[in-house]
Amino acid sequence: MTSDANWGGLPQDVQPAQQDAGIDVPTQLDVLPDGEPSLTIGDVQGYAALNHLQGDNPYGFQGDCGVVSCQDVLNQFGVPVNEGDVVGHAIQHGECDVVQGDPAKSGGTSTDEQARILTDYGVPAHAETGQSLEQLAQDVEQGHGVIIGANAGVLWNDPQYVETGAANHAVTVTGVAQDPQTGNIQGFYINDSGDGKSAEFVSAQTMTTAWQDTGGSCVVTDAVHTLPQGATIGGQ
Amino acid sequence: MTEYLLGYAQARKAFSEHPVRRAEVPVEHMISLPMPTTRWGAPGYAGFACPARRRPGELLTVSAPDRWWALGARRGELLAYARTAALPFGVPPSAEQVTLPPVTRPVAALLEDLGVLDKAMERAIGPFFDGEPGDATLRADLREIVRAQVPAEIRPWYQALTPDFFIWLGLQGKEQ
Repeated sequence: MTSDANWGGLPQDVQPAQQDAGIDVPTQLDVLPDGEPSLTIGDVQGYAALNHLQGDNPYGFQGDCGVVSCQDVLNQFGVPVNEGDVVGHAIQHGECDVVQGDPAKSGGTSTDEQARILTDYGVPAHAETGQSLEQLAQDVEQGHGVIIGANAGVLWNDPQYVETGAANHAVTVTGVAQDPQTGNIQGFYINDSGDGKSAEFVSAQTMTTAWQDTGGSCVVTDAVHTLPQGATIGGQ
Repeated sequence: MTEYLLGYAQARKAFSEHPVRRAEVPVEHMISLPMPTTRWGAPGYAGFACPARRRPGELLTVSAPDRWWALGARRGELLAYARTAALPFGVPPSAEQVTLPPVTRPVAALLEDLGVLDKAMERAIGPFFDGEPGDATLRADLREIVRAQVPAEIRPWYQALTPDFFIWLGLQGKEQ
């Protein structure tokens, strides 16, 4: 392969991301599962199609929620990769955990590794800790791609996975639910490759326990999304 | 009594949020509770992380710890971080994979239990770090709390990493 095919310095197995076109994200009036009116900020339904149950890769890796979250964010930015591509890249570049003889527990990534994977593919990102719900909402509202590390037991209401209360699962945050009258954060929408649920609403209370109280760890892209064609801004 | 800046609740928080975790430890790993220890020549807290497999509706399965780290109790400084492949801490090599028993308590109750552990540990770290036996009732209460928090299947891993604390607690050996 010639150097021209290396897209200006990116690894040869990656393709460049689309350029930024703005900072706004779609918004629409909606109704929460409990019937409360809500303003949804973010392309929640558009990005729902990007999620799938983790473990769909030729390496048999199943503990790769962080990698699948990276794939989700990369797809949001127009990088055409599937889970197998990103797992293969992470293995090749030493950016995921490989448990010898146990692919079912392989594929794990630290938050720094998630940021490196995104950056490798031309979507520069950085890891943050100690973030609040308000900061998380701001990141999503500005159009950044966001992956959080949260406690799976709390997210899934499954006592088996509360463990020691620490973050143990990565998911992608695709939207914010705000009270249309007060602007208060009602919750967030996530794509969760662990249970395969997309556009899943997580209340602010649950997100506080599952994410903020476990360290507020996240990976945030430096760039922001382009506005999808036909999307509306400001609930119009 | 010596003052320790990093109380147990803070240590538990610091342990799971430390930069070494962000940089080195996969999010998907199961993080142990930190346990008090003076094993590295200073009052501190040590814990480990294990590869884990989680699927909704299934039991949690973990492999033997593949890394461990320790923080100082005085200012939360990193005392040690190592992969067990490079610097083992004494986990029996036969302990390769463990399926943990079903957890039946509700999520909210489990989170409250962690708060109970924080409070009991808070009272225990002073005498432990000072090399004193402390109050027998406190140790007995804490023993029961630790038994409840740390499944017997993986308790040997904790005992191997912080043997001094488990001896102080009176919770050593397989039968415990």
